Amino acid sequence: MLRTYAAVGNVPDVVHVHYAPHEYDVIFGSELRQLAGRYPSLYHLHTVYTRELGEERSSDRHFSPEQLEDLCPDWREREIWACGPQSLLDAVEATAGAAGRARHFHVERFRAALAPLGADVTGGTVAFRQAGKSVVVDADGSTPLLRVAEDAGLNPPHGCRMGICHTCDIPLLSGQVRDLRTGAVAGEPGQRIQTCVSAAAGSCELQL
Amino acid sequence: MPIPLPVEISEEALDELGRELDHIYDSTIADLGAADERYIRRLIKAQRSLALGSRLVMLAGAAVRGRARQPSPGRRASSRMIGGVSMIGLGVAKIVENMEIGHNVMHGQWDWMRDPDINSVTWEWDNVCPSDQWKHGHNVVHHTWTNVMGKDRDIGYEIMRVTPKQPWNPVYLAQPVYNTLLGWLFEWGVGVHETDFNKLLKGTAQDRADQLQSLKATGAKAARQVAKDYVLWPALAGSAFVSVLVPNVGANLIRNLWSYMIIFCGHFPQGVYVFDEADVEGETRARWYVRQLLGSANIKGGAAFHLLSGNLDHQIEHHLFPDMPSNRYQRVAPRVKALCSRYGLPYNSASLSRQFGTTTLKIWRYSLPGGTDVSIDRDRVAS
Ligand code: FES
Repeated sequence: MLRTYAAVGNVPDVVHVHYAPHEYDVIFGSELRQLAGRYPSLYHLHTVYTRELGEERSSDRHFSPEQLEDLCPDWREREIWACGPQSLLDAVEATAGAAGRARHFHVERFRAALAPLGADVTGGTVAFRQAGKSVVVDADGSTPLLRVAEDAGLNPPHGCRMGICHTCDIPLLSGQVRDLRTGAVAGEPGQRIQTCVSAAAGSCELQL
Repeated sequence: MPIPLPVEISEEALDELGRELDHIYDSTIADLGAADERYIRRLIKAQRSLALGSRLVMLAGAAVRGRARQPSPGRRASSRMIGGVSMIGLGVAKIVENMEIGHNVMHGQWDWMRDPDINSVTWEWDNVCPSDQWKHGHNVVHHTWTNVMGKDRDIGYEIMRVTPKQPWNPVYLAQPVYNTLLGWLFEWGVGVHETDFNKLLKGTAQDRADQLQSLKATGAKAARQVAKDYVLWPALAGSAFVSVLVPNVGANLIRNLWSYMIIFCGHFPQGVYVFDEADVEGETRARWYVRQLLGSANIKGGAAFHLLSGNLDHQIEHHLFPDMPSNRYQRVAPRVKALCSRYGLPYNSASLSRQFGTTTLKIWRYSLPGGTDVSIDRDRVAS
């Protein structure tokens, strides 16, 4: 965001509190310092090194309302953008909420909620094993296995089709599947997977 | 037409809200581990000990009474007291088994542990309703179609009028009476809920066969429950059969009344929204979330209350994330609430007396024709 503003030469009045374990852990550290040098009256960078004092005192340096007061006394008049681990976001959100500034609190996330599927995601051959017979079909890496089975003329158990009811769970016999909501890959034989929100990640075998 | 919202929210903001809720879910699920496992395993152990302990004390109480036809007044009094205490113990054990353990295990909340004994496939709860019927009627129908008229069979459980959207008919005049009755006999109501009596009596041959099948399954499960609570355990007391039978009946009644009260506070209190089928056509994930939020209500309470209500005092969180382990709801609740206040959405949370009080008032009021829709004024809100 800052980079975009700087590129168009229109840096707003920003107080940036950056937490990192040590100085060398600061992401884009030199770029940020350069920016601070270029816009001394607009861009105020505070770096807080949480581990410098040793493990035992590190929590003293974590975000706290007092610390915020100290670094940015007029924070109540500002929009707040936060990005970082959940505990930090929670602490900042609670502080903002307590001061009635919840509406001015915004979160930027490291991780997208709906996992974008990378170029490396491929489907494969899916085998649905049933007592006495099995149905083998090709599937891509983004179609839910429930759909794959239905398109193959099977009628596996299902309910909500949106990942909440677990009616569609069936055991994975071999191979890997991907949870389409999180992108997480599951591949332990015997594990029950939710077919309505999982797709093949390579070839796999399922028990119907 | 998408669901009506109480405030104006742009489509982009709604999607962002959906993503933030997804993130709460994903980060919590990613964080599950040993502490959560310990919680459920310990709870199950404690619950089983309490149930067994109460049953043994019950038998001891019967023994104190002795075999005499005419026990001394002192013996009779202490036997009664022991019976009463063990009845409450067993009642609490049944409440915990049904609500915090059974209901949540059957949602698949603990399937991630991959424990063959604690999972949604095999769990059979201490209730006359067969688990597989419950999982269909509850997890699939109710949780997918929450508060959608004509879809969610839990709106007044198809026997009561709890919103003016339901057309009135004279049968509802009696609902204040059968509502009370349902409280006392709650597990039996739950047991026959999955059976569609309309279809059973007037449906096609196939319908009738299906419904008869479901009723039979309930019958079989109920027979096992009755045999366990009202025959086998009392029989262990021999001639003092009745001294064990009575507290068993009492324990089931305690469980019935308590679960009835908590469950009725989930979707009926003042301020809860009811939707039409047209509202949910082509519903996005974000709007599904908002519907769950608007259609559910929380009850305020402490740690003991969380446990005894099966964490359904966090009904909102439960409906947003039905398969998230229930011990996590209290931790995600402040985040959900903060999101609601950021987006200007209501978060219906109040005391038990307010939630249960307004629920009961509605049941009385809507037994008569008319009534205004308290939850939403469609002309005034953004859609
Ligand atoms: S069909 Fe409901 S979770 Fe898959």
